[in-house]
Amino acid sequence: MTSSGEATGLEASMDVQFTLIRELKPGMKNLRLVFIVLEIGRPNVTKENHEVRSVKVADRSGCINISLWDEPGQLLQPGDICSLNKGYVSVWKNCLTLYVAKGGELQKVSEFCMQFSEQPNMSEP
Amino acid sequence: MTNERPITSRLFTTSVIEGRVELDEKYDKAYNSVISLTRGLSEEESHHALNKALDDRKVHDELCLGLLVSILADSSIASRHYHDLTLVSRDSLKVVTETLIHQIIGERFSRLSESTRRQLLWLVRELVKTGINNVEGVVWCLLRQIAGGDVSAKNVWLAESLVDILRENRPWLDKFPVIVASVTYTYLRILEDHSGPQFAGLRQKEVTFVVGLLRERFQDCLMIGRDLVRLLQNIAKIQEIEAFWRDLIHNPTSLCPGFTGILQLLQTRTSRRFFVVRLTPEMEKKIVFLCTDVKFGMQKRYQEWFQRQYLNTPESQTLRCDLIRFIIGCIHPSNEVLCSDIIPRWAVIGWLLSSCTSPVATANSKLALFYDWLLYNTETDNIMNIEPGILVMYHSMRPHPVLTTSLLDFICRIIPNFHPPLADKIRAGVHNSLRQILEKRVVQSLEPLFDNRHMDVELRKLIRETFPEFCANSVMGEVKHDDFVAPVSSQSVTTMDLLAETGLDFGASAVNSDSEVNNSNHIGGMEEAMFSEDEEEPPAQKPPPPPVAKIKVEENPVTPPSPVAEMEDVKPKVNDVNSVEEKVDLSKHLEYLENDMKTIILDLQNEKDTKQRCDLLQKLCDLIFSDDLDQMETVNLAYCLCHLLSDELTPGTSLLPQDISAESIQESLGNPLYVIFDNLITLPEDDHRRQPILQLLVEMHKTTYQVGYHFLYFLKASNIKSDKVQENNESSISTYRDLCKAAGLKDFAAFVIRDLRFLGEDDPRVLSWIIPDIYNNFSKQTRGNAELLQLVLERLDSSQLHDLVCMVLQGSLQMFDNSSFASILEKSLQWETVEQLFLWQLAKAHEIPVDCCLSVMPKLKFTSHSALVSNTHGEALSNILMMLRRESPTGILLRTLLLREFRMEDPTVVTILQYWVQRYEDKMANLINEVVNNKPQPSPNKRKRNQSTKASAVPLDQVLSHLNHLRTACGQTTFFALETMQDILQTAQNQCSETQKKKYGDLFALIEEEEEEEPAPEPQRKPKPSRGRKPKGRKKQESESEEESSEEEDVKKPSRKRKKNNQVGSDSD
Repeated sequence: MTSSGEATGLEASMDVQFTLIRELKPGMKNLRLVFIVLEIGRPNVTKENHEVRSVKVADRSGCINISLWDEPGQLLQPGDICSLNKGYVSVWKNCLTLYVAKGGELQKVSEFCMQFSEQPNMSEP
Repeated sequence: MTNERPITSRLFTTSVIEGRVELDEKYDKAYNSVISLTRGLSEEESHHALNKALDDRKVHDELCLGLLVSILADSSIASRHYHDLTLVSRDSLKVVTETLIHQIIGERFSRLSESTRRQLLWLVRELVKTGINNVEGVVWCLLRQIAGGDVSAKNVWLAESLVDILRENRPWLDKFPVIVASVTYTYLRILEDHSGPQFAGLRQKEVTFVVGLLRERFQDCLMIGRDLVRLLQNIAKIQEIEAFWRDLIHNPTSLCPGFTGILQLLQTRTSRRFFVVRLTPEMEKKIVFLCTDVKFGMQKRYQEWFQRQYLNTPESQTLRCDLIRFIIGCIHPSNEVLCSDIIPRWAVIGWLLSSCTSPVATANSKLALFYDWLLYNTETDNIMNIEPGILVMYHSMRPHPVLTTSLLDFICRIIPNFHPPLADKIRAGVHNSLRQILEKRVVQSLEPLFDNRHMDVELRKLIRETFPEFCANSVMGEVKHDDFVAPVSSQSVTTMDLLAETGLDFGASAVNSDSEVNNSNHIGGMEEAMFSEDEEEPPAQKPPPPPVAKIKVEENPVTPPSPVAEMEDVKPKVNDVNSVEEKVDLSKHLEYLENDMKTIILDLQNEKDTKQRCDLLQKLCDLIFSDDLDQMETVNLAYCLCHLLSDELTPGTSLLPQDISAESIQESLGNPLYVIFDNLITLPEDDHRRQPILQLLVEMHKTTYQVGYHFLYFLKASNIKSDKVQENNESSISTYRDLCKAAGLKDFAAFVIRDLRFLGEDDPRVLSWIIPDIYNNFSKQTRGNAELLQLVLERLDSSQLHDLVCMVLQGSLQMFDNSSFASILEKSLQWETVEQLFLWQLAKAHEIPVDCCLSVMPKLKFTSHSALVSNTHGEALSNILMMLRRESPTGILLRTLLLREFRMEDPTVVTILQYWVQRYEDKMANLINEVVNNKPQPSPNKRKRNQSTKASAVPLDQVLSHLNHLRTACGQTTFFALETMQDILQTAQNQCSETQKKKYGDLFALIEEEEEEEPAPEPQRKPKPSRGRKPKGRKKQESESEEESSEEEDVKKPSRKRKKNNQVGSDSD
């Protein structure tokens, strides 16, 4: 399966270390992660008319909610495998949450073919 | 303009989350080098310039690629650049065809922009017209991109464009028998999807084309095998197909001189390349991943995703057959996978069958499942093709009895009905299948299946008539005999055989004669292996094998390297356990061992006396202590031991003695296997000699899963032996953790669950006996683990449950706690009823408070008298109700309940409201008052923020809907007559919109009635201050009288109230 390993191939070729979800702690930043999308929450609309979605994502070590604004949140589907750079972690409403920093990027790299674990859920208070 | 880096992609669609990829850079670079060479030049000049630059091989490849990109990206220049390409290329367009096969079509087709797709088809048409080398590979890849069950414009366009190209180039097509067959197979299949009136034109084109191929190239089509018949039957209603069908049956030689008839086709196993061609590479990748990488129990999300993407429309139901045939014919998992916790094939197929929404597609899917049964031939067919059918039926008996019975019914009826002239042959084929299934021990016995209690009388009779020999006593005898040999050995022995043969004499392929080659698994090696498999098919029916080059084109982009590796004939060897082969088998392994060790093993092989065997194993341990083992020695020794101890590993009875006493348990430890365990635990923890023994156990455990639970049994049992039950316990059983560590596994929970799962299957008594120790010793990894809990509850009987309940109440066992219960409860909704009820017993024993269940409430569904019990959560809801019943109402509880969506058919909320109203009338009124007044509807959000800790605000409409339900469902009126309630209704009415006023008109009507026409109750309601002590006296009577009379008493509330009050009065007096 040449491209199911797209994510891992990326890892190998660029020689970058991806952070595991289980290792996330508040205040961490400049993170690179690869995860699979499990659930996409309903959008909340901000005063400036931005749609904010809470999206549950997982890798083999655990799962966490990521907060996504506008387009990425609209385009993603459960089952998409994404790579994120410049992610950061903070606590919102008592829940550990992952964010995309300014200049950070979320890219869909593949679909479906990734093992994940829903435990531990890092966003559970 | 062209030198600037474009933001978007030249060939692919992009979006914010799917930007440019590496291929884009490569393609742009190639494109730019073509453009910079030819900019401003005339056609002839640019031609010259290109030619001059070509001498370097690298430049040649890049320019070819650049020209390809430009053809695909720009229709205005395409034909000029195609001309350049044909003149300039010095590799007969190899760069072009390979890029198309491996990248543009094989990997990125779904992302091609619409204009690129049009250009691609234009290019393929040109390539075919020119008859370029390897273009048949490109066509084959495009065939795969025509998705089954997809009638979107894009997909239909592809099917039509490709059929046009092929029609126009028949002489070219006829040169490639494999492509002819693949094209025929593909179009026969998708004709089924094109049955709608809007496709009439396309359908006619396809029918004419495909019938032409069938009639003129029948020799080529014969290579498809039996699935050709399957597809023809699905579309036999089409006139031309029907005509062909008649010739196939009545006049076979007219199609092809050597063809003897439909039976010949049906007896030919379908080559897997045809199953492959009917899935897009994307689908294939996902299904293969699901069947080889996803753990059993984790599949739900993957199945949802797959369903959403490919199986979500009415038209797409036809795809299920393709998927089932692919799984049966192409995914033959290795023994390693079979023994692991990966989801088995039957479970995936069970999902595909049970989630099907169309009756026709369901029937076709069942046929697809049993297609290899119909004319099963033990010589030429593969057990792996019939294994899923029997296992779906077998494993669905308990969780999905309807599926099992419908499949049984199907298999019985298909025998006489499939093709009446062949009924006898088919009966024989199905019987062959069943016989081989028993012989290879795919299942131990058919008895539980053919005699399961979910069948109705008619089906039972039908089965008895259809399969007399499998129901009668004769077979039972046979099976029993088998049973005695080694009831559960199948898996373990299979693994051992595989290990023994890793790379040695596996299959018929000469390539694999070296273990190194096999392990490295390069694509080249794989191809050969695949090839040899195809050649194993009955040669008689096959047309002369096509040239190798062609096969490569096809198989290369298609076959996922590892998963499909065929370990087919492994199961069949199971029966040889006790046969003469033993010595030969072991000799390979003995070579790796030192002489002393070899002697011991050989002695062990001949020794039958248990005591002597124990001594031999002790000698072996001593030898290991004195002389470390290296990796190869360990592996081979482990294999030999598992093989020689297989009788002890699978004794056929429970490990736990019938009567449990210290003595009997001590006796049970006489197993020679336990000598090794004993040597391990007697060594102190820091002794370096533990390591080799641990490694040996790790290898044995890998080979034979039973070793794991034997070890657990031993650890607990040996403690009892020493009579110091509690003290030593902890340190001892935790030795098991060392096994996990030594195996290099981090996930201890998964490790122990795997062993316990096997234990539950093989020996449930031991499971319940040992489970408290598991929880106590490994509390961190086990407490609150839903998977573990289910596997325990799945096997428990009522007395074992009572044992656990007692231990929990004594305080000597804790399986979960308040914080983990909600998530367990949520997962338990998928469990069987009994398992759920057992869970609730344990929850009560653990004294889980109702608050811990409330978070799950919104997920619990219920509909009274529902036809689909599986969609309701009665178990959880009734237990939560029973817990709520013991609580007195509070604001939080009430809010949570009122927040539950109101549905007329769901009596849950109204039940507890009524229950509380009957007992805590005043308190309820006050609480409802708080809910209504504290949270006026207009600004629920502000409130929420202020009081985030409390339950959120309940919209007024929600409150009213439940109150109204209380009125209609329980005939409750007295409660609404309370002063507080009157006020509430009044307030509510004032806040209501007009539509709401209308909607709850009957409820609000209770206000006016009281005030206007019945002054009498007023004074009676006045003495309410004394109600403080009333409820107690009232409880019984009221609930009784309520039950008896509530239904008839809708209207006569005042009188009833009076009556009640009187009663109470007289009572308390």
